[in-house]
Amino acid sequence: MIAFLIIFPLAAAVILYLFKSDILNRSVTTLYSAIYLVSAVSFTIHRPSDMEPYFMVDPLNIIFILITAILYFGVSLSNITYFKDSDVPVKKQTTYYISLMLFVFSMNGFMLSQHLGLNWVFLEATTLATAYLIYFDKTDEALDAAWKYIFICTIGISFAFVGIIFISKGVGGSVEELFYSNLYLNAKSIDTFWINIGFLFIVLGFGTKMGLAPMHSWLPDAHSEAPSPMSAMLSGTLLNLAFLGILRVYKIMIAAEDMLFARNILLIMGVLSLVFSAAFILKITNYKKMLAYSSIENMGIIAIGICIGGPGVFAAFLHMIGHSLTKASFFLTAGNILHRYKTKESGKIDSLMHNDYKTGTLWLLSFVSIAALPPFPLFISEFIIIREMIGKGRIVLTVIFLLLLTIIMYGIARTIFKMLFGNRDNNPGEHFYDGFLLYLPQAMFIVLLLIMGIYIPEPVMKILNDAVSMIALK
Amino acid sequence: MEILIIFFCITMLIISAVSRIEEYIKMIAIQGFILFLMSIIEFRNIDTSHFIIMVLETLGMKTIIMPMFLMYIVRKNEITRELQPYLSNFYSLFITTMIYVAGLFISFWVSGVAQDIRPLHFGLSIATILAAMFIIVNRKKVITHVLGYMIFENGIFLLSLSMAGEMPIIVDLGVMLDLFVGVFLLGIFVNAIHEKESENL
Repeated sequence: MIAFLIIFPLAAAVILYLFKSDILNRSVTTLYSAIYLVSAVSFTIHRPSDMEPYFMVDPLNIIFILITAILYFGVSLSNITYFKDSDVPVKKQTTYYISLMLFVFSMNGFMLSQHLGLNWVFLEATTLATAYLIYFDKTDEALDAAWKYIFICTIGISFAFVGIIFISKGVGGSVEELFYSNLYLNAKSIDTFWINIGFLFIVLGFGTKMGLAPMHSWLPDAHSEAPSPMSAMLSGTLLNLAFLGILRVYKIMIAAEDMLFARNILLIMGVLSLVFSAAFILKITNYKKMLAYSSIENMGIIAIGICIGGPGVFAAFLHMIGHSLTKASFFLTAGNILHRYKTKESGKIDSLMHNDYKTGTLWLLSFVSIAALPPFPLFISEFIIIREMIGKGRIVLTVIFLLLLTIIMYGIARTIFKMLFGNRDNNPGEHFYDGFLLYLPQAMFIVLLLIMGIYIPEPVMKILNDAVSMIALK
Repeated sequence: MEILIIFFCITMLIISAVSRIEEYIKMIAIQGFILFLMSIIEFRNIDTSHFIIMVLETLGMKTIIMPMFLMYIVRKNEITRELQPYLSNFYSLFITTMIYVAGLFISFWVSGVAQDIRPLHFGLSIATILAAMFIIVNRKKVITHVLGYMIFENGIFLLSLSMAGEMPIIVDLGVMLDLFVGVFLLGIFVNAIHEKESENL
């Protein structure tokens, strides 16, 4: 089953390239997303073992696979009508779908691989696969964003490579030694010097892809220039993936009982991410860029949650799920707004609720969710993190954390409300496509969020707890 | 063996002082050749397939193919003028020298902390990585960023050489980094051809 999931997108990419047919593009990618969702759910019951030891489903990556599957399914639905009234030629559309397939392929490989080196190769592959998607609009800004993305991520990935050199120095450097299971077993025998410096470089490198400060500067441009469904994928899944990579390496530090250093690194990067997004979000006039800064903020919160430990780890996972679904819904809705108003400037948009109440409602609900108000799960996760901080006596950290969150929330709310309310009739003047697939995926995500926020179902709770027990201290 | 790393550092100092792109590319090719010599001296006991990969990587890619392709792009688009650094050559030479002095200090320090590595290679490879970062942030043109990244990559290669004992997986993975360079160069190449906008390159 794993082999099928990994090979299918590659085969599909070749087929799409050969035929370049509009209907085939859409049906193959949607079909794969449905298969992917079904298999991801089936993995929770039965774990396939056909590609061991290189690729495996384990309690930690299953949660990432599930989120990716749900998001990819939703994005595929919105992809069906994405090119409906655009004048993008079929050949270019095909390249979009091929890149999407390669992107999903590399994400799959990354999530399932159980080997540090293999993980690194697939992370590199995600960068290469998504670079074209960011450049898709072929404007000067898109070119800048794609170049910045690929260059900064390359530097980051090279840093991660340096980290891998250090860690493999610590363990002896053969291929088998870099399997995570072997790394965890041998962690105590690795010299502290090598493991610390290796961790530092790997976290810097993977942190670049995760959007953690100080290596985040590619993210706002890339996420705002990519086509909206792809922004949703980049923000909702790719950032999580890098987080998975960090968690895997963090677990080596746990196994080596070298926690303090790892926690401090994550804490510094997390708080810095909050500081950077608070500093920039207030003067952003591009609403997609604003959402991208909010992604940086949420990645920072997740990193802080992990380093707080205890229930904070559970909160970090919950926050990740909540953020992925919310941000996907946000970016898809931003796509609708962009589709309607043809501008990314928030200042040129008002009376959204008045003119298009469906998009307006989704925009508002996504905002309520990202603002961590009940009954959405981000409320629970942030609440747990803050409670844990106070419980551990880190009052200064709590104050800084709350202050920064408030600034960021003010920045987002100001833009969102300015766009939502007003009574001006502003019709774009030209006909644009308006189908239910523009709203269904977001509605689906928001329903899922509400379910998670009000009552986390038993099986989901079990998956979450299993993942937490992989990271928690023994 | 030690003489090679000293030559490597000299190329870095020259790079920080010159302002013509051709000189840059020549120095990068020389670096590739030095790395080739180092690796055949170093990895004598490696198995044949990895040895071939390494020769292809250092002699083939780093010394011949990449520099030639770069020269081709540069001549084709006539981007031979100044490199447009933010800081003048004097200051960048000074800063690079300081980075290498710091690298020597790292060497002294690491020789006490960690066993079975080559301290001099270790310290100077870290310095090379830092110097490459400095080159990247100090230059305006996109093509210099790519050249800076190639030096960065050479620094990483040097770092893996500084670890005594053979690590075939590192050699294999290191080849993947060249993929990026290839993508960068192709990106510049394609865009320059399409848009005829060599001003910003």
